[in-house]
Amino acid sequence: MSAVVKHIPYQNRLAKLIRKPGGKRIADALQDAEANVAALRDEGLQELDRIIASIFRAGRGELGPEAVEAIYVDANQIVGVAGVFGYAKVGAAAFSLCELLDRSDPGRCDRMAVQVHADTLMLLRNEALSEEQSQVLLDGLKQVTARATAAAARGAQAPSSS
Amino acid sequence: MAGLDPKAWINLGQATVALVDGTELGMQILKQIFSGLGARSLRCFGTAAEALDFARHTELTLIVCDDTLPDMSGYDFVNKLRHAGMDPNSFTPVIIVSGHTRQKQVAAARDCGANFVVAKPMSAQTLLERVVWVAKDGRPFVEVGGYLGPDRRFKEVEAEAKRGRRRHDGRTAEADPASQAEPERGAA
Repeated sequence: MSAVVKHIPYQNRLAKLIRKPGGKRIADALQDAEANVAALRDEGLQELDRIIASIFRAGRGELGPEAVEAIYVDANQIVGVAGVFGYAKVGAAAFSLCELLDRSDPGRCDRMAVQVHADTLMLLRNEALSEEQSQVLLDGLKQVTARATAAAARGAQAPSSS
Repeated sequence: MAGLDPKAWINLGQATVALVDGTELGMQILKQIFSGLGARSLRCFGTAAEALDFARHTELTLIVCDDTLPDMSGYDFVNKLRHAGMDPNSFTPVIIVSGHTRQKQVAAARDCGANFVVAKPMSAQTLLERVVWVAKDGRPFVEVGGYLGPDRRFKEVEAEAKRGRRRHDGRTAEADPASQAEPERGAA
């Protein structure tokens, strides 16, 4: 049985306003926006360091569901800000940590895998690593996450098959 | 500037843009980008509830929201907005900015009714390309089952045929060709 599709007329006001005379040339608009964001760099990097330190500490504490959730939220924030301030590799490592936590059973998170991510975040942020060295670290994280999530998936299947 | 003509003009000066982000730094980044792009009326909200409350009495031109908010996900926020019966704000274009998407939220991202989901980290250029794309988004609004938002099937056919392949519906797409993404100054 096919679903009933109801079409709703509406007006896209953005389409009208964006074309009105005035405004900015796109080149100028982008230049201004990028300059504005660049002015946030010091503040942004301080916040990045604070979050990384928070993950580092939490990764060495009790990893219950609440702690895991807090680490996930922190890591997800890094995904959003690191690349904005020139630390895309840090953002990639944080994304890997999010993947790890999202695919793990919150009650049985792989502590070593979390700590490896926390250590790597610190390294990528603080050490002057070459592109190749950084990539080796990120490739390593991918393997860690793949192994940990595969183990978590096996663990999740175990009770139902017994 | 892959998808935009740097000599073209854009006018966000009269647009009322709502920014919804629960983190101070995330909000600052959004504010500075849109301020630089020329938006003068920026309304900033730290929670979905605040944004929804504001939308009940003030007309918004564009909404940009984070996928993770303190009181609900950005996807739930858009879903609530779409179903709130607030004309015209229930039809306001929404761009969601998303970091990591949890497995359990993938379907919500697809079905919430957002016009676009932009992957973080966001840049001014990416956001502007998406704003222009959303402004030119000619998809009709549809209500089907529990879904209320831009027609996803229309997007599949039109967008892929005319503008190249997109990752999947409701997610960040490849940039549109410059000729299609660029607004014409004074063409309203």
